[in-house]
Amino acid sequence: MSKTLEYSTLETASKWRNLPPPPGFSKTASVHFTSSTPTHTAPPPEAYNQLKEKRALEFATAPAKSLPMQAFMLYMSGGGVQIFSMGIVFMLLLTPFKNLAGMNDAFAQFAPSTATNPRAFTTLALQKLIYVACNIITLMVGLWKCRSMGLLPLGTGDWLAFETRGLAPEMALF
Amino acid sequence: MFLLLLGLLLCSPLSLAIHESDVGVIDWHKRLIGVPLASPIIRHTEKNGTTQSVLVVPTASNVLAALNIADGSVVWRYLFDAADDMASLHVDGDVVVALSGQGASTVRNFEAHTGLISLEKRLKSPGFHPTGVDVRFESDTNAMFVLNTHTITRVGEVQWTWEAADKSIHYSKLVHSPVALYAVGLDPQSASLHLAAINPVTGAPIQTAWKHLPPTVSSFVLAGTSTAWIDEATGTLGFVKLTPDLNASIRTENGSKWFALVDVDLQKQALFVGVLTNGEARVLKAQEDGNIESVHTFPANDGTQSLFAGGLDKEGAPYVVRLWTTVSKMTAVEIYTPGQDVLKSFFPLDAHKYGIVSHVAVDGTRLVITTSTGAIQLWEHEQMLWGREEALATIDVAAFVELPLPERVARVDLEDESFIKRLIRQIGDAKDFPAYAAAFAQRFVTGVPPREEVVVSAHNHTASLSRDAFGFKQVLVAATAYGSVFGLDTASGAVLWTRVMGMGWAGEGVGGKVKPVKIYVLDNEGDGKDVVLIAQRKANNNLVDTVLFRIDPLTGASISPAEENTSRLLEGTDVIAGPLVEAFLVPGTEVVILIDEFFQINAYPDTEDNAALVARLAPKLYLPFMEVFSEGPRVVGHGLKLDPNLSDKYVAFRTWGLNLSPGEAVQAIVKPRMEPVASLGKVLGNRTTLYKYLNPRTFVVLTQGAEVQCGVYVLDGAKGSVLYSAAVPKASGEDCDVHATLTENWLVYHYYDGTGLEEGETKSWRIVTVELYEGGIDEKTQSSDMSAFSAENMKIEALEQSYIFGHGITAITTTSTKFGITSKDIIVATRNHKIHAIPRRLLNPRRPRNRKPTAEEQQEEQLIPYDVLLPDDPRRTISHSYEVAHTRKIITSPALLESTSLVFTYGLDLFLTRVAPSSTFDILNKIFNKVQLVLTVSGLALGIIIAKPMVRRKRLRERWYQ
Repeated sequence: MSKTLEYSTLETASKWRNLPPPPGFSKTASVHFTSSTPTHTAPPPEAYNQLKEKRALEFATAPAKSLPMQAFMLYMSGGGVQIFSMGIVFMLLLTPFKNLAGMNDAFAQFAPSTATNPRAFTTLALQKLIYVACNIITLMVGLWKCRSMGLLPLGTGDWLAFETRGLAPEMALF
Repeated sequence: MFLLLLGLLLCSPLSLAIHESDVGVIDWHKRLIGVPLASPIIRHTEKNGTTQSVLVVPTASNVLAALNIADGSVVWRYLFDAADDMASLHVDGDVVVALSGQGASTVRNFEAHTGLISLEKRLKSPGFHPTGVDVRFESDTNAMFVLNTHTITRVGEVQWTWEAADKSIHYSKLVHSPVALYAVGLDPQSASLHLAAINPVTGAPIQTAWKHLPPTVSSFVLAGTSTAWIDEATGTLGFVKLTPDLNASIRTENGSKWFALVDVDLQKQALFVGVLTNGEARVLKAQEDGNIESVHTFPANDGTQSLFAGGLDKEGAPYVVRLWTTVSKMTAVEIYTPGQDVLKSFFPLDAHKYGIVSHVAVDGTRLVITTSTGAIQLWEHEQMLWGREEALATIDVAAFVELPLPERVARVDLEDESFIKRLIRQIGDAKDFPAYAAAFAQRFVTGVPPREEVVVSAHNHTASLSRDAFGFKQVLVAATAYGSVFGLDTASGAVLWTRVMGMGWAGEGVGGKVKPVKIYVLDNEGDGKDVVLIAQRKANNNLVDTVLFRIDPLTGASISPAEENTSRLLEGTDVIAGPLVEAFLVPGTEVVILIDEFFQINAYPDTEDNAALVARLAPKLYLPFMEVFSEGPRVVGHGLKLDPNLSDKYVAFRTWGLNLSPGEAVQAIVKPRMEPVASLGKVLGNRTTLYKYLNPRTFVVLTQGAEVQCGVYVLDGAKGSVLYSAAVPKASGEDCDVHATLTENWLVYHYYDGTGLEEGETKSWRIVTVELYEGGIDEKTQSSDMSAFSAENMKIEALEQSYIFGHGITAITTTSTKFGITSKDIIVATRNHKIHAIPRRLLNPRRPRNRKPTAEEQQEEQLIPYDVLLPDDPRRTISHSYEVAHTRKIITSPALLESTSLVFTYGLDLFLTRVAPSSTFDILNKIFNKVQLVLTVSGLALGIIIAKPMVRRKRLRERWYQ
């Protein structure tokens, strides 16, 4: 089972805020119940937000932290084009894009309670930029590996097949 | 990435040698002997109770061969060197004596049934071309007497040489008798018959004499110990008996009008043939007393002049045969043997297929004939027992023709086929489905394809003439110097059809010779191909015409003029009234340009569209070809222009000429091989590119200098600029023997370096590989679409390397594949009668010298360090154990499979094989385990079928109870 903490359950701005109550559950009763208990059991929202920002920062730097491990795997997989090294290279090349595509969703859980739209790019912008940078580093490592394996089309030889030539203006027959 | 994958494919060990199981399946070899020069001589030998009979034949290809009379196969053959011309052939008993070389000075004795040489000796010779050579044997001592003009040599236990005192006397025949050896010679100038009698044991002259003959005697015949001749002016037969003192007087026979005497090679039996002016022919026998008596008379015949021949059967009984063609075009034969009735028979020899009989030999009742188209045939009564087509040893031009698609695929006219029709056709086609499915299953499970479906076997003659899956089955159309055209099946080597080129207007009464010059394969209106054969017809009245034959390669039938009946002579159309200077196929079209002696351009087919095409292309067309000037042959470039004042046709005018040093003459032009270019450059290990110099107008000129060098030039055909040139050493006094081939930007040439005399040098054959590039690394000029007149056209960087090659060669070419992706091998025919393939990898001019190739170079380019010697690897001999003699030319053709190229060599022998320079990467290996694959896949499928419902149930349960 996953051990992540579902902060959003405590959150008014959570995505489950608008869910209808379960059958037989009265909202007023609940409100009444919560209002009857003093608020000292819950920490203040600012503390929550700080905690969440810290968590978001940790999340943003996670790809960079796994880099040494991946570098070691790359080293172990060798320079040849085989199924194992190709798998690692594909992973290195694909995960950054996958991560960036799902970035806003992934950061939504860390959005501060004040945020109007937790999925907006502007929410937690700093952490997201760091996240982007870390993913780019991963991608660069992947590309570097590709280059060292000779899979990057950098030389003229890689583009030779796309060159075309027309017909010569003169014709000699033999 | 794809390049890399391709590189990986190429890395896999190239298939070096052919498998033993492929011998005779992927290749075939025809052992030929050449067209007979004289009547075959039949010899029988008793050995272990069985009689072996062979035909000994000297041929125009300078070959002495013995054929098995039972089936026509070659028992043995001896190939004389070009410098060792066969001058004379004599057979006695089991010994075949051949005299050859300058002055016929070399004598070789062969065993008639094995071809083993029992004697090889140089004899004294007059030093000039001998006027008379004869050999006689002394039967009891096996000594041999060799007459050469005015010298007689005895070869045996006792050896002596006798020379005529008067060197101006030329003897031409020998007669051996126990008392004396006679030499006989006729000198028409002094009208005298020279005679000499010599002691056969000691060589001491007994007597020499001369007899005066009428000056109109031009030849004589020896029979027994008599010599006979005919005085052509009076028609009298004269004869004289040879005695040791040479004093017998000349006797004449005036009773009949004689026309000619024929020597039927029965001197020992004292038989010869005399022909009378009234058409009768008499078999004459010289009696012991010197009289000549007629033993048989052949009555006068209708039809052509008769051929006579004599021979002995197994028991030694003499036979004399007369052969002629009757008015009703049958070949008539009369066979006479003393003491028996004359055997008369007729057989149909198709003159439109074999021409006329040129020689005949007799073996009992069997006849061996040779024809004017070079065929050798054995006939018994009305039946041909076997035949050989020896004209195939003289192929002038040959071309591969791809076969059309099978009829059931080709006939579908998809465009205006209605739905109902298509349904009916498809239902009709479905009847083949069970057979197809069975074949598919068999091929899939066992891995053994049904033979005719995939890999055509060399032994399968029955398969119909349609394209096979891989395009290995094609038709080879070959035209020979004897005016015959053959269609050969590339899968088996079988002759599909034979035609003889007709003479056109020269056929009636004039006669002449048709020599094929060029062959082109053009598309016809359908999906098939036509063969266009251009020939020069030289009539006997010295008029030369250019004739064009358009042939259907499948049947040999002429297409224009259209003909139904292929049993007649092949008639073409006279396209030029005069000799042909050059002919060119315009690439990308089906038009052939013919240039006549006035340099006029004649387009074939002669239609308005093609005239318009020539007019449209004229400003940019350039035609380089060889012209002969007073200082020797030169290469001259020509442009085209239309001058209405001169001619209504376009005329070629000279635009450039190749400047050569004084005394240097052009030897040959090597045309570039026109093939698709797969890549514009060569990618190096570090992913940079060398751009290939792909000027489509380049061609090679080989020259011979006056002094000590030969030239190799690569020229631009439009402007004449020299793009690459090399001077190659040659030994003075010898002809240049340079062979070259050019494809894309790759030139390979071979020569003999006989100058290496100093230490560290060597005399050897060299192969030089040259690659032309547009400049250094990553420099490009777009040479393939650049104008010849652009300044950058001359920007060339040539990489070259030279290697020592172990053999002299007679022909060189490259393999060719459909798209040009497969690397090209060089195919050479060596002087030791083998065909070699040299991989391009070995001939890569980037092979690093004095260093190791870097890892990248090794991995990506497969570079190996330079080594001056190209090792003689027998695995690269694609002709393996066959002897492929005197190859003159090699032609290659792509198959439908990109990996594979067909190679056909012709010369004396024919040889065809398939090569895959980068191994057959596009077909599954034979040892690929299909059963395992099928079992694995079906096992996995079974696993899925079993596991799928289980997994589904488990998932459902999880949803409920989690």
